[in-house]
Amino acid sequence: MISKLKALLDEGIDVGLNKEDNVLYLGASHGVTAKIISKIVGSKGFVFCLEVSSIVMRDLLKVCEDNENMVPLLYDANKMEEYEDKIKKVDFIYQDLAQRNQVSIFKKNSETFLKEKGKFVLIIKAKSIDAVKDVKEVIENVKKEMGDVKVVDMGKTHKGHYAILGEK
Amino acid sequence: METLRKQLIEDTKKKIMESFDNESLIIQCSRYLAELDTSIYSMKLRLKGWYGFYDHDVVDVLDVSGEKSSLGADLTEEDLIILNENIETLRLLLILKEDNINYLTKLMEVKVPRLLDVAGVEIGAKLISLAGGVKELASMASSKIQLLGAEKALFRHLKSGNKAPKYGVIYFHKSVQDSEDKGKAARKLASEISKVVKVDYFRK
Repeated sequence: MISKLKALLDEGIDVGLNKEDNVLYLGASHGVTAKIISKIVGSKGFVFCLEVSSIVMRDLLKVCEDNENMVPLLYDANKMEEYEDKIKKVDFIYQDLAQRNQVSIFKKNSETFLKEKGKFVLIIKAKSIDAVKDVKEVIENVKKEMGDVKVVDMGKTHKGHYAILGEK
Repeated sequence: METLRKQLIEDTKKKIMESFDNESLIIQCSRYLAELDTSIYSMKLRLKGWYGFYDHDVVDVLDVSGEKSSLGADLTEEDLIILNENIETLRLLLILKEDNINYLTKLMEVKVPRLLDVAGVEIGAKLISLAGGVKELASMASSKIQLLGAEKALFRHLKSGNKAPKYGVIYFHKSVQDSEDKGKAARKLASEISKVVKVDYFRK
């Protein structure tokens, strides 16, 4: 399966990620997408890769060791207080979590770590917010909660996924 | 930034190592067993069809006479050699499965003896694996334990109002299998499991 970020970029969508950006990646998984971000921000940028699973982290750790602008963080995005002091303010947040409370996780993290005018991409998996409700209804609710954002339906490459693009 | 990065890489390595315990072994072994079961089942089915050309009356490829049935095709020695090799490998996989079950039993005797006693090794391990850990299983309501493994049916029920599932993996437990009223037996078993796993987790 293709990386969701790459799918967005291939569609010609400007996600607002720039060279030299400092990025916080919530739910970095095996590090495929994180590496793409690391390439985009270049050697003067930085990527904080947060991942909760220690099994997945084995792969991610290797990617981080090989790329000097990447750092691994084995933490739960729900427990921000545990890693608060390890991350500096960032220009960009990329979040791809399959959590029920993924929107509130994002809000908490962006409030603390995202600079003013900082951009973000929030990947929403509607099914993990509510497995029963209609997908459109879930997305409408997310939209209401997030305010002024752009919503991209990623159904073509990733069924049931939406990308929320915005600025703080 | 570079010092911070080195520090965090070291921290992560340490945390990965600390995250390992016997519970991880139970979960991995249980998931591997499930894969093994699926493989054994489909290999058996496929081999039965294959061997059937030679012996139409084959019921179980692990228990074949080696003799051609009256309508059987004339297979050459070469045809039979590879067939037998496949059957022998299947036999080895069954031994491997037993070895895994014995190993899993030993792990569970240490970590969750009461759960092992009540649910049995395969179901008990599956419940831990589905819950994501002993702690998670111990903090689950009995009604949730009852439906672990029936997520698909549960969501179908919630979405379309079909009948609600009565049991998940505990369906295969002897007490449920033998019961006339399987729903009731499942409820009873789940409540018992919920009790003992709490004891297993909180004793010490």
